[in-house]
Amino acid sequence: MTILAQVLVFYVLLVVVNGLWRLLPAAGIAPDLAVIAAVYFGLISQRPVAASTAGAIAVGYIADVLFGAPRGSFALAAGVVCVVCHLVGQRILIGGWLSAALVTAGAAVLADMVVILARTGTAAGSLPGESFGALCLGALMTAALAVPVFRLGRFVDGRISHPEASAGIDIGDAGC
Amino acid sequence: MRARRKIFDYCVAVALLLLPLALLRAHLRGPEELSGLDRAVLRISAPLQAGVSWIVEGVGSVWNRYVWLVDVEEENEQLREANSRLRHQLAVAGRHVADTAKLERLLGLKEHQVAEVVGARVIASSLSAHFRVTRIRLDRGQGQVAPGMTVVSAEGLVGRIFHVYGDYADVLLTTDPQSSIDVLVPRTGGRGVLTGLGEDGAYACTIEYLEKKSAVIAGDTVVTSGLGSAFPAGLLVGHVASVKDKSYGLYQKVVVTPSIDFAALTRVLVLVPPPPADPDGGAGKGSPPAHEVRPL
Repeated sequence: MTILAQVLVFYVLLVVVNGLWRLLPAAGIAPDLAVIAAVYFGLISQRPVAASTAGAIAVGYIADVLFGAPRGSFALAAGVVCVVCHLVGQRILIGGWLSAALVTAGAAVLADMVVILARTGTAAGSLPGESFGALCLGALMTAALAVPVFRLGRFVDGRISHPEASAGIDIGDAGC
Repeated sequence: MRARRKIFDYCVAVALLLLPLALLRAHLRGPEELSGLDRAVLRISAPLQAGVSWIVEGVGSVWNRYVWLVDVEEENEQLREANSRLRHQLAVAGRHVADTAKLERLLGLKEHQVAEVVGARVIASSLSAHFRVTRIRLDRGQGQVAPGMTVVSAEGLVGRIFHVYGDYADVLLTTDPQSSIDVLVPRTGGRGVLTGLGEDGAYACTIEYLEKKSAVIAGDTVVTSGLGSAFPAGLLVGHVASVKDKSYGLYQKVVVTPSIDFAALTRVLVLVPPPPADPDGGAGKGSPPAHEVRPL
């Protein structure tokens, strides 16, 4: 139930951020909310990996549909990122907003790699006109947006009375 | 037990990853086809996206219209300055074009003159109706120009030199009351004496001693006759503006509008008559100005 609520929140965020970002000067480089959702599910929410992966794949699928991407590309990337983040969270202690942002930046690069690999592997061709510099800028943008989104996620978790939420990674809690 | 649960969880997660792969494969087979789930998501999302877009664009529009106006005002100021500068340049260029056209016409006139010509630029004009005099600055020929010499422009006769001092000279215009020029109406052959009317606010002349039998009408061309004065024959003076046929007397009164717009006169030519051939061939004898002996 909580996962479903989180997916809905990320769905609304996808629509709003996509609408808002078009008017900003840096419209060419947008944050990847599906990656943020995957990192949140895999690293912050501290849920079982299967449920987290399902949530991440759902958000990725919605991103695919909303942005007109090949169905499954963002979903696959989000699923992989979620599983990797879960594994990382089991072995490395990650605390504070800076660490969370850095992990998100790395996850964004990983997600881009997965998308490129998936497209290449399925003969859909590489991403047009996307350079490594653009990937890094996109990753930084994603990392910058990650912390407020994580706080929003924690806030929603707390409202839906998810007891494990308080046991999640401390990202500089702002009263959530 | 807990480890087995964990392994099971990871197995489920990996299995879930196969789902997007299957979706991707299905999409590549038929990229245009939308599944029922796709349609449902899009149907729900479309109004939401439209609403967000409407709000965001509304806010953006307010931002662009009001908040960015600070920059727009600065840009407007720069554009105004640029516009003003360009207008000034355009005016200067237009004046140069007009000057060039006048100079070209003067050059054409110069080529048709037997007499030597000295170019001059108008530097001042009298505003009094009683003294229609224009001051000119001679381009060259200091010492060559003397009182009584004819001054013309591309449009016709301007007047004659009145005073000369150095590089400057005063020109008595044809519209001055003191001016007296023997003129001819080529269409009728009638002759008369053209004098200035000295009217306020207008440059106009009148022909006196023009016999009534010469049926002059408005619009007739008036040229110099070349007789009895220093002016060469055939120079355009103006056009008949009106004819007052008095019931008594031998002559009619004709008002002439000069062919030249004296207010806009900027460049003129002074006709310097060539000295007559010296029959004695004696050196050191100065020749009198030709126009005082015979017309050009």
